[in-house]
Amino acid sequence: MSELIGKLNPFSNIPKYQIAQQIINFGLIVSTALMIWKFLMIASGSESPIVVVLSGSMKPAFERGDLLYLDMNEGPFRVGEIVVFKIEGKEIPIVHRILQIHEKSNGLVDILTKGDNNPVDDRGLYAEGQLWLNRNHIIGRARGYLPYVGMVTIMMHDFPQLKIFLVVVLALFVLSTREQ
Amino acid sequence: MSDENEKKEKPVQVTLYDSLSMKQTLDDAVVKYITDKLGYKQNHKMNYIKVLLGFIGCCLAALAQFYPVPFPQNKPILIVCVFFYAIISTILYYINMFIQKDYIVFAVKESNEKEIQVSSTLPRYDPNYTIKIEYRNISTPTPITFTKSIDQYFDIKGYFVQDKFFNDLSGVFKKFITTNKAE
Repeated sequence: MSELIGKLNPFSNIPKYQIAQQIINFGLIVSTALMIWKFLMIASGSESPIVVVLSGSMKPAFERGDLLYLDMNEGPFRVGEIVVFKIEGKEIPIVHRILQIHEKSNGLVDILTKGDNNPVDDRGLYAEGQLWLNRNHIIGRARGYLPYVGMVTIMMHDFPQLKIFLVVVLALFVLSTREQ
Repeated sequence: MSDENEKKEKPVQVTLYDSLSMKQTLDDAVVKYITDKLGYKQNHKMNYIKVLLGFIGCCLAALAQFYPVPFPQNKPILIVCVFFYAIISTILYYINMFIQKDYIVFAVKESNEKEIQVSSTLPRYDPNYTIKIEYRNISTPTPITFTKSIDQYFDIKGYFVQDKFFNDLSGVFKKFITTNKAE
């Protein structure tokens, strides 16, 4: 019985200071992923450079689970561009196409969007009393896409236990393998 | 000394054919031999540097993530953090690839004596474990290498036969010291 516990416990053979190294290693893996994300944020200019398409409202162009790379710069919006935007009070970003643009003389724009696969425009989705989107609602323009890669995110969203499970497995794996 | 009698060392057991854990067991035994039997002190400087750099890297990441200013405005901080993180990552990679390489221990006997370094290799699917002892930073004295098949050191159940390994090690180290004293 104690042999079994000895085998299960990966720490029984590791000298003390290496435990700090193991923890730092785990931290570095998380940090590297984070830094890559931050780098993408800087490169694309968008606060969320990669989004997953969550609904089928843009079929046949995009399916649920597709991964989109977004870009955001100071340039003008154009009708027909696919943009990702967030409504105040709702945290889920929406991927739809620009239907109408009204540019005012002071440079501000009013934008109306619609999903390709939806029967009506997005006014029903906007916040109470909101008729138009503005530049500050928009997270970015869709610039590139990878089909179905984002399904993993959707599954993790639907089953949060999966997310916790994966993190725990990763942590155990990293903490129990030693550097040579 | 009753302390030594009470400190019974548990024999180390590895899964047979798991060459990684076997190499680690042998490496650990080498370190133990050097520190316990020969009285060397380990030089952990590189390891401490790595832990420190790793810690700074994690702090940079935390700073980048939790800085209270929202996105477009915190771009300068993000750029600084990402840039220094990339530098730290490169340094750590450099240390691992070019400075630490195969070495398993750096040690000195007395503080003003020359430092030795020991490297070991156990190639994949090859049962021969090779250990190389040499002086650090001094290239003229000859390094001593010693190869033996690892099946000499593990029994059928996977228990590590420490005494046999230590016997071989003592021969190797004596050879190293005598060869290099003749300078």
